[in-house]
Amino acid sequence: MGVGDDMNNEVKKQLTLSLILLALLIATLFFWYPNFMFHTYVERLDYQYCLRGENDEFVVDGYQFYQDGQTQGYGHARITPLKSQVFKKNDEVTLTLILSQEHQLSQKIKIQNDDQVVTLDEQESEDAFLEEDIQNAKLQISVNRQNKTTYDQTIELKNQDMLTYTSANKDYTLTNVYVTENWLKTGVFSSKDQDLAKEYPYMIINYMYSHEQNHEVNINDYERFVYLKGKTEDFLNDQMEEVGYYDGQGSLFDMQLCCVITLMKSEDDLHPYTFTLPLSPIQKGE
Amino acid sequence: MTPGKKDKMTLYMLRNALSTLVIAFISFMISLISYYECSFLEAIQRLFLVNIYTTLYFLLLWLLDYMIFEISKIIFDTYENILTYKFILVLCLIAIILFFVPMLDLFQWNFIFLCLFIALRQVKQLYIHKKRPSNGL
Repeated sequence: MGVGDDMNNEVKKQLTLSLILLALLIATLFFWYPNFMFHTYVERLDYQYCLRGENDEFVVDGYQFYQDGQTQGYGHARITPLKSQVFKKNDEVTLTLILSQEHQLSQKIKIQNDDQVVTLDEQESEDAFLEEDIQNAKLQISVNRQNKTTYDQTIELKNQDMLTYTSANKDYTLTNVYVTENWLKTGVFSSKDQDLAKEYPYMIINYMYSHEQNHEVNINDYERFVYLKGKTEDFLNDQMEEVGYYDGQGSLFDMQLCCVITLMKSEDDLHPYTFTLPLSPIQKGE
Repeated sequence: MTPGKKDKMTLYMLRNALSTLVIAFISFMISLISYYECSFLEAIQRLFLVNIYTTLYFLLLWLLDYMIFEISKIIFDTYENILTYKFILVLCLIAIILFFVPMLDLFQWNFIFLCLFIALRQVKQLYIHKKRPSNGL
């Protein structure tokens, strides 16, 4: 008996139909592949921590440690005086982050105005930081006024709970937006359109928050939080980054967050292309 | 087809659908966890909640696995006397080769698991149902 004879007509029909369906499926998977890759395997940071602490005189917000590929860094914190005259013009402030007796990172700042809110520079680091390295972090603030130490206190810093937010539509994604209760680090914008930077050389991203919990985004309910304007190419190359602080009541976790993205053909384009991307959180694993 | 046989067919189809769903799901989990170095819970969220494109691709891959499995069943059951253990050996060989082929780990794991699952089904057919052919190994 030949091989062909083993297969009756019914089975032949089934097999032909199955093979046609299989070919259709493979074609669909093939054509959807770039879209799937664009939305599924997005750029990621290796780690991101945000520390906060306060005492009666200062609030230290957004002290961050991060690793992005080969780059590691720390700093970029905001130090807000709670009492007047703790910072006075021409004071020299030494800020020392104490991770352990051996591991201390120091930075000096000259105060420009009375009661100035200080933002620390971002420093690159050769070492990577693990979560246990920053568990007992403290910030020593030492104020030197006319060669006398007028203030020298240490503030304990706590690693804040953090959520990663993302957003996407068919052609654009915004990923790695890091959010704590009162702090937000802007994310990475990417597009499927390879020529986006040529068509729209400039763009603006507004990060907004709303206390309203509506399913539909009504932009009138939102307040602007972080404003980023620059060249589209810089956004696409992940060179545009900003940090925002929320000083109002409640937590950012309880609010709706969204981004309004404006693509412009010139810096003063009167008819830009604007669209909204609502941000939703992904729970970070322990 | 008698009602009893029809019920059994539905049960087998459901079992195969569930098995191929598990294969696609595990492959996605391995791929997402290794890429994002995240927990199982976060990988589930990335698969089902972050965007519709990932979820749809997962469903398509499941459907592809199911189709390949059903086609392999038709081919094996038709040429049972000729293919026998050779078919199982070829499947295991494909699974080993796939492990070294440079491709997206999602597809790598998915097709390795699928080959092994098809091979297991054939082993079951040959041993459990005592369909040992005369011209076997």
